[in-house]
Amino acid sequence: MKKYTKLVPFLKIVEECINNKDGYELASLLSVKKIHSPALMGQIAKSNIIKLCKENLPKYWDVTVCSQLKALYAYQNSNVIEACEEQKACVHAFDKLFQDLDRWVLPLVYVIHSDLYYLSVLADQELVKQNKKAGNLEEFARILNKAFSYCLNDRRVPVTNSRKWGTYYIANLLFKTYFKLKSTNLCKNIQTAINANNMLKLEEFPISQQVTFHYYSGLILFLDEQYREAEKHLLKAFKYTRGKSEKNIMIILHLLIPIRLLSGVMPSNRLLNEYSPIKETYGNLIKSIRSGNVKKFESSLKKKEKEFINRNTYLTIEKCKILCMRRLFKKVYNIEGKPTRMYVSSFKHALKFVDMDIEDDEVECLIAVMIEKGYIRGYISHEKRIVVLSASNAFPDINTISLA
Amino acid sequence: MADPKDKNTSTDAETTPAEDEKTVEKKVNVLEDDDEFEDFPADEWEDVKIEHQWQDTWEDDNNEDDFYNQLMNETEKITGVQPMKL
Repeated sequence: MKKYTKLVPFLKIVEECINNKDGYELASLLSVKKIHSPALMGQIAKSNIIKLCKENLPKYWDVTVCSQLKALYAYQNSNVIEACEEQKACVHAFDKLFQDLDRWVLPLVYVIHSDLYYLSVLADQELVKQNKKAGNLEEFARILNKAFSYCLNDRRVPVTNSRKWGTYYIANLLFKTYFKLKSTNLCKNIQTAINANNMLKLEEFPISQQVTFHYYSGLILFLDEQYREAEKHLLKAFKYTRGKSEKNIMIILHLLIPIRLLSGVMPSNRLLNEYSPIKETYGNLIKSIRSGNVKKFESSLKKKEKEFINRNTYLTIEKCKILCMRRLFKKVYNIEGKPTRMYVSSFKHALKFVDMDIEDDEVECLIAVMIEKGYIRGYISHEKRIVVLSASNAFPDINTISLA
Repeated sequence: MADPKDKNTSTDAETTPAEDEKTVEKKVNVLEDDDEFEDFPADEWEDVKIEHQWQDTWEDDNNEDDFYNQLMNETEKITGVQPMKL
């Protein structure tokens, strides 16, 4: 990439990009991570850059670019608080331009907002260290919401040049921001706004944006315990992430595996062998569910308790205990030759074998829960202490049972 | 301040030393160290065919491991594997 040693030629190129509507090149020139030559950095450090910008760039573009360069300089000199303020000024100035611009400028919109996200996070961390009030990220959420509306509500026809094409990128960045702020409830507003709008189909957007959108949609549904719907989104995200980002694959799998386990779908050995950290985390749990070894399930869960709590999946995985127990009961049923009547004591004995020493009534209660959930087909005769099982399919496939 | 024309002709521009760039690059990338979903590289995406990643029929096999054999012994102790008499 060409390096500029002087500011004016650099600004001329910026102007050329604006005139040619080259959003991609403009975005690459105006990223805080752009590495400029030391000579150019020296010039940015001088106080008269606003004058040069004003002389070389159209109105509002001058402040946009000038503030961006100051943000870059501050950031690359480890002054994140100042960098954040300058980047904010850049986005504010750009805001005045944005409503009159169309699709071509979106790459720039993405880069200046995503830079402001990171600078806000870093500045807030720094402010907390200094015992000062840290509200940059919250402010950023408001700024970004404005950009979101500019995109979503652009009604120009034909839609080819519409800012609507920026909607999903900005929505994804909003999700990220809300999760960082722990205000995940606000994500729903974004989804509602998109659904209410006569929006373009998600499939028409770049795959990277689709995948991220599916990931967040899945995560939001997961937290809402809507597992089936969450699963659909996460599977789509997973399908395209392969070979793209190991980090994102891990994040998706750590959600997808617990959800799928609960509905009776196991990751295959092939999948486990492909991702060794996943095997390390779930290998023993999966083995124990497969064999119905409730004791081993408990100890494997205990070992990974902290990790699952951090990942918000502990409760989901804990729910798989009933699956493991169902597996145990089914094995006893098979060993006894698939009868239509079984003593409660058979199950009690099996549970004792895996260190669950409980009373008859408690065993009946467990079986009742499984019958209620559809894991076992039959009924309990409390007086005779027997379970009467359906003649056909007494232990139906778990993946055919709806998740309550 | 200097006239912009002077800026154009000023000669404080030198070639960039390579080590310097490395340090700047390192500094610039601190943003990435986070456990969040990261931005994807903007390159071509193709549909990757993936098979046998998931298994939903794992209950079909009896999974006759040590645990199964022990469980069978235990169950036989109390039932003698006799069909239940009623």
